Amino acid sequence: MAYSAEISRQNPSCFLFVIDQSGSMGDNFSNPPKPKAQGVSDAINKLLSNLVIKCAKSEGVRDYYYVGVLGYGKDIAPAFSGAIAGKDLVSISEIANNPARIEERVKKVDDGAGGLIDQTVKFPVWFDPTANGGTPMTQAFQQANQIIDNWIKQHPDCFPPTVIHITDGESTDGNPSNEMQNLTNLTSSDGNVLLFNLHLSDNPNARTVEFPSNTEVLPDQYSEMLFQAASKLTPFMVDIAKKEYNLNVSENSRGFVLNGDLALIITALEIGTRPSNLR
Amino acid sequence: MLKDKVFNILIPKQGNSEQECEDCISIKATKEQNKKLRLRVAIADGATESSFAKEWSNLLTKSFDKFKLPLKETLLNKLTDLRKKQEVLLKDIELPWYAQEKAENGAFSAFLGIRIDLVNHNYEAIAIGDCCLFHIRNEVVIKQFPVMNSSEFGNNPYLISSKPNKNTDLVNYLIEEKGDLSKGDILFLMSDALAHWFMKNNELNEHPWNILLGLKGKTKEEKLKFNSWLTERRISKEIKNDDVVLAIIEL
Repeated sequence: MAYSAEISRQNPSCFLFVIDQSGSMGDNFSNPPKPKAQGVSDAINKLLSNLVIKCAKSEGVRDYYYVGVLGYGKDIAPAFSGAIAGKDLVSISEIANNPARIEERVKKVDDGAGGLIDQTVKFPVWFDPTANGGTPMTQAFQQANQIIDNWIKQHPDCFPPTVIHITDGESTDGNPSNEMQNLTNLTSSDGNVLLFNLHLSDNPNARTVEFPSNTEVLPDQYSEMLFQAASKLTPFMVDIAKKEYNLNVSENSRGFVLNGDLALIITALEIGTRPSNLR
Repeated sequence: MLKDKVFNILIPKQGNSEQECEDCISIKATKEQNKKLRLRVAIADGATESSFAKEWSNLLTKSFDKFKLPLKETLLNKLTDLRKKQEVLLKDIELPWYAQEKAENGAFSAFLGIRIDLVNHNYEAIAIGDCCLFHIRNEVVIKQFPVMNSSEFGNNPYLISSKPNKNTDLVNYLIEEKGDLSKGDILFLMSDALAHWFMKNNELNEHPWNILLGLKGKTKEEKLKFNSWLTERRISKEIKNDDVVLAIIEL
């Protein structure tokens, strides 16, 4: 059965985030009103932090995962900051021990008496926001394919890698469909590579769509292309989406969201990074 | 010796060291003031996704050595103290940012304890999660709990947490069972990976207890035999690669 391989230190899996860093990512999300590049960077940093915590044990961090962030805009390059800058896939323990910095941020928490109080929390940062240049999506996916192909050659029995792509726009270097298809055609012995496309569209007709199973509600050819290229959710992801996030999904739902607010983007990241069998 | 009635074995998941095994067992035989002979056996399975789960499952099993009836109330009363002990244990360790956050989420464990009265030939047991008890008499499973069907495994069971705010409805998930014992009865206690295999084979009328009885033994060679049997089942995916704890009590 596909997507059932054990994820362990002997048989790790990997996540690759492919992030649009074109100039238009400097525009604001509708909710909350902050630049998309900043919101995406916060979401990825939070997700990395959660992954590190998930893999932390009393003796240290276990390398269940290798993670990469590939940015594309003015350049196409690994997008980590700090000591791991320039690396394409990094073990989760190396990530844990090398944040570029640890910021202190304030969050509202329940005061136990019906109100909210400010609490300072540590917020490690590995990935900084950038919004500059065009949208060379095709070349970015060529590079992603190489990274994932190399990984699978070294880990032929791994739980299939998951690639999560976040973009707000249209490719400026041709149609990336073939490269995306090449990516999802890559397989380990446990199944095909999984691709999530999270589309922050500028189309005024685009409403929020989460994990659809057909193209009926999509506003244009760009969102249709991203929907068609996205993988179907695995049965475990369908289960999590239903039970933990109360989403209306089916076995034909794809790893695609359109114009989500930041909360939906975070939900999609959470679902995309939740394989079923961490050991 | 009462303790000799119990065979037990603890094997870490393939690829992990013995120190990393988060399953635990405690066996305590006592002759109490009223001359009643009691045997208390507890097993626990610390959750991989939590940290300091081994320490927590160890505290839980050790505490069962002195459990009195009723078991549910005793457990609920002891939990405050056990949680304090876990907190003290972590207080003295300097932790990096991720370990601190993880520790704040608490440790989680499945738990099963059985208190056997060897004079009146009966037992009471308590369980939470998917550590299982099987009571065999005359080649039949006459009782199994808390999981009743092999299809129920793998559904993220409710576990005991070292943080009270993660266990606000714990009382609803603690399951108690009791039974009478006859000479020749055998009780098996085991964590989920082995219990799943056991239950599945029992559902196919395969009498899996006979396989385990054939493998038990206290010598190093016999333990190695058990180990290689388990490794073969893990490779063929008949048994999930997870920590295994097993106790067999023959009456």
